[in-house]
Amino acid sequence: MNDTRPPQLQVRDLKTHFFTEDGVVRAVDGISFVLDKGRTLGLVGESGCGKSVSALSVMGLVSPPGWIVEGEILLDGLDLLEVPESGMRQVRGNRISMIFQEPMTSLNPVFTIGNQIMEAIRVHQKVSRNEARDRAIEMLRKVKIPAPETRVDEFPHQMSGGMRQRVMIAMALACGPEVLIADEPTTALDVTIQAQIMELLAELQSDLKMSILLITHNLGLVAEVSDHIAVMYASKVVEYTGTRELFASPAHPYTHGLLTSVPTLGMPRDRELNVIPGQVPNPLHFPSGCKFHPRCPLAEERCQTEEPLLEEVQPGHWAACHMIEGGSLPLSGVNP
Amino acid sequence: MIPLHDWMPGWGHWRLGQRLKGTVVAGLFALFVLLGLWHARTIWGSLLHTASKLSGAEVVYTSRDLDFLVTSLFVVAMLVLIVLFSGLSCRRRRQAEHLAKVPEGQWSIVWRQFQRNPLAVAGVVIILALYLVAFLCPFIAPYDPIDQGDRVRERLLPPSAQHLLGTDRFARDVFSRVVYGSRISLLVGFLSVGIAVTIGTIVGAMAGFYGGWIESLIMRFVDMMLSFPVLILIITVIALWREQSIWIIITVIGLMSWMGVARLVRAQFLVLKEREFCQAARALGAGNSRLIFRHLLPNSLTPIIISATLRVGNTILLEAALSYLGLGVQPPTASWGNIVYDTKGNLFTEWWMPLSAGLAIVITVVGYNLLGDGLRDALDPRLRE
Amino acid sequence: MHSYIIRRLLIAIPLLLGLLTVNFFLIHAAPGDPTDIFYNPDMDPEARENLRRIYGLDQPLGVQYVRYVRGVLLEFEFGYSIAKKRPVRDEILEALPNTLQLSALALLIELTVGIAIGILAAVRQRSTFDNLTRVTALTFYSMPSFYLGLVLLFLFAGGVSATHWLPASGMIDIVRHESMSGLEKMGDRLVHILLPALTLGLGAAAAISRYMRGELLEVIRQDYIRTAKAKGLSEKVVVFKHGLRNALIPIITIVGLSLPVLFSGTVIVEQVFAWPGMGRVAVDAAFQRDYSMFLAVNLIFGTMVVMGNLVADILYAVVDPRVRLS
Repeated sequence: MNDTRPPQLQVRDLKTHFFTEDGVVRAVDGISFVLDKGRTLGLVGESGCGKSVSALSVMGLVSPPGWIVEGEILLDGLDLLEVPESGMRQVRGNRISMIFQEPMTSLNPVFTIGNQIMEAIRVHQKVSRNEARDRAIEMLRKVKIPAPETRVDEFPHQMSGGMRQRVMIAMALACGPEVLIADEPTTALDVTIQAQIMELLAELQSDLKMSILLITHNLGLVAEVSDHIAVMYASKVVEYTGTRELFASPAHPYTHGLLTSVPTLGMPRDRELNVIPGQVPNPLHFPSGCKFHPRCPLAEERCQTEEPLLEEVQPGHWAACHMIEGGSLPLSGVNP
Repeated sequence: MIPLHDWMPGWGHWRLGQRLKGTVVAGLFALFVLLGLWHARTIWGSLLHTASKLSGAEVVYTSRDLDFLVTSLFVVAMLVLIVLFSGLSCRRRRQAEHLAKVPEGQWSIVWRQFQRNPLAVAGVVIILALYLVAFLCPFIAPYDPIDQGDRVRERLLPPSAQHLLGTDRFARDVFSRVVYGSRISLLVGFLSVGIAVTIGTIVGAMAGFYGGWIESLIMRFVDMMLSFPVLILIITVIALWREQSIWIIITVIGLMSWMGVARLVRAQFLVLKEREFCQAARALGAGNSRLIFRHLLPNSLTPIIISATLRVGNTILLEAALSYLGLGVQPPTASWGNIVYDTKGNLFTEWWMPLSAGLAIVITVVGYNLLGDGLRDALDPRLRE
Repeated sequence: MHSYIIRRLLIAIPLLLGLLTVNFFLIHAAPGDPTDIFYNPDMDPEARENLRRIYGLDQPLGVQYVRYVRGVLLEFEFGYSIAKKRPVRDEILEALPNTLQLSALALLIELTVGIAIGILAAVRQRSTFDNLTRVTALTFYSMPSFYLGLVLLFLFAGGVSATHWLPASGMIDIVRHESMSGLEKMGDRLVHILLPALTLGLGAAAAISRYMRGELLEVIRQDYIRTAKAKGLSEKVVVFKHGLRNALIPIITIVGLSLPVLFSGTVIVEQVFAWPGMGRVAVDAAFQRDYSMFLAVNLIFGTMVVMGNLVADILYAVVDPRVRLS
């Protein structure tokens, strides 16, 4: 955190709600974060906490019955929520790209991978078919697919999951975007492949000077590659700070619980793993007050009625919890 | 003891707050009371006539007399049944209020899903109404459907108060023929599909359960039969075997349309066989028949019921097509298909005949298709749109 | 790809032979025999035996079968129609092209109308258009084809205020046919085929439109559609390029499987519009108890279905690389 950089993507108080038959699902309920230029921000949380919907909101791909109710999404100062759909099409895949969790199903089975990468290039840039094809091969080489000249004409089903995710990355980066949103990019892959893909992403990031919004539930993953981390719980960001800071002194009881629930190499064998009691709340019926209070070991009466705001508890360290005093939790600390 | 007001159709339900149910029950009861009163003399006469026949008197007793007797008994029986239903259903309702809430069974969930779908309910209403018409034919039709009137003066009359849908070229009342035609369509639909589903289930279950060469043999045969246009096959069989009675037609249609069901059941068995509960049953030493009848078949029932319902519509269309070609139900018996066949050549002058018979077919088949779609949506959540 | 087609072809051959065999024995299992048509009580039994010998009916069934199979396979010979007093082959060759024309046009109508309506209904899910087409499709689907035919006849061929916009029956205008130029003859033919083809096609289109709608809605939910949107493609390109191609794959199978229904429909429609095709031949054969004609008609229809399915299989492979390349 020694050098500060200008923000590339700022999300402020974003709310995305789904108006279903059973009621309003507040999938994203007022989240804010900042992604600096050339940096990586990890968005961490359990499944169903609203991470993916946040990403889709940034892409402008939330489809009915979901709507972005309010907020700001600033890409280099440009509010994307003010941009009309035709303008958003210029942004998608060009200035912001996205890769998804399921490489097996995220590619269209009836077109060759070359065709699909070329399509991404030609929708944003006026180039001939041959040029686009050369660029596609170039991109495949960049993501380290062997023999790109022949594989460019293959269909998705002829490739393995790891290969397909590389193709997805090649496709997303084909137009040199400023921001890459990676939604659980390695969850569906084998562990060894996971490492390769993350390494590739880091390499390409420094190469192409882009910012990455990495969405995952895997704390180990974000610890390795992110500069900042935003922790989400029940549709809200509950803590936001630099990676090292977060791991060293987590401010929110939820983050604390998460960190102590992960086994680490070299920790004493007889130490019990912490378990967060209870379950992730149903987004149709969030608890009142602090949404974490039913599962929180520190919860007091106030937590049941009053929802805490995200406040700066230390310089550059934001958290939403009533129980923080002087920047740290009154937990007799197990240090993760 | 069941209180007296519970026995009064509709009143009990209404008191218990089940207003819709109460209204329907009361309405049906009123309908049968009115029918009974309207035809009181016919009913009484029919009973007396039958009684004198049974006591050995030398009276002419035609199949039409039998028809009247059955219908009269049906009306009386319905009156009794509705009263019984009201009383017992109210009692069960009262008891249920005192008991602790039991978790909903599978079928009541299905029923609730089904009720939410207005189109499906419309389908049920259409079909129940049609069955009612089919049972009450003699009381609804003003004339004998095969009775030829005055061939000179009453031939080809346009619709009027005496003949709601006019008369055909044999001076028969078209409205009465359309009413009686419902019997043929519903009978064919019900029985043919019953035959097809029975055969299809047995064959499909054999193929799916035993696998191996039995399966290949059966499925190749099914493939082959499915590549025949069914109508042409049925025409072949009916024409060459000469007999064109309604029973032959029902049997032939049934024998020629089981292949789809067989395919379905086999696919279902193949999937279910690999499921954990079947593996577990087998591990516990369940025999083949136990496996089939306790585990595989009950779990295949849902798709079978759905496809059977949707098939009824097609079967009714098939019979109508055969009768339209003159190869199905033979005159003078009225079927919706042969009513249209009878108008050949006079389409534009006797438009009311094909129009009414055709509409009857469309409504019936729409009813079955709505019911089938509704059942599918209620029974199989995965298929819901 | 080639091996796939060859494999399909190899499956079709035993299927056709099976069709032939089942039909042959089914029809010969029927009571009576083809010479019944000449039957009268005064007939000399010897004369009857003579007839049976002429038509080869005195031979054992096995011999008749081998003879028939050889005739069909080597010489396209289907025997002699006693009722029509001419070779079955001549009758078939006359009727078959008419039925093929009718079915082809009906198939075209089925596909274009069905797919177009299906797409529109899916794109505007739950709109008035969607609900309206749903009800219309249900009605058409539940309507006997003869009834649809009669309704069309009534509307366009003389029912409503005696408007004769389109001819009610036959293939050509018999009165004016001789005096027409080549182009006029084609136009005349087209005008005649329109109503029967519409009757046949619209009924089938109803079902296809619902399948198409369902498949497209299913496909639109897939991950790769999200990927396509994330590339910045317009809604139109996403639906028509990425969605449609995938949604059409199962439609090809459904159309292939529904071919027997289409051909069954020709029997009815040809009757309604007096179209001299295979369906008419079948119904005539039914009334005349024409054994040899039946056998041929069933074989031809069966072959058409098998061929149609072969085409569907090949199309399937063309559209879906997963089939082609495995």
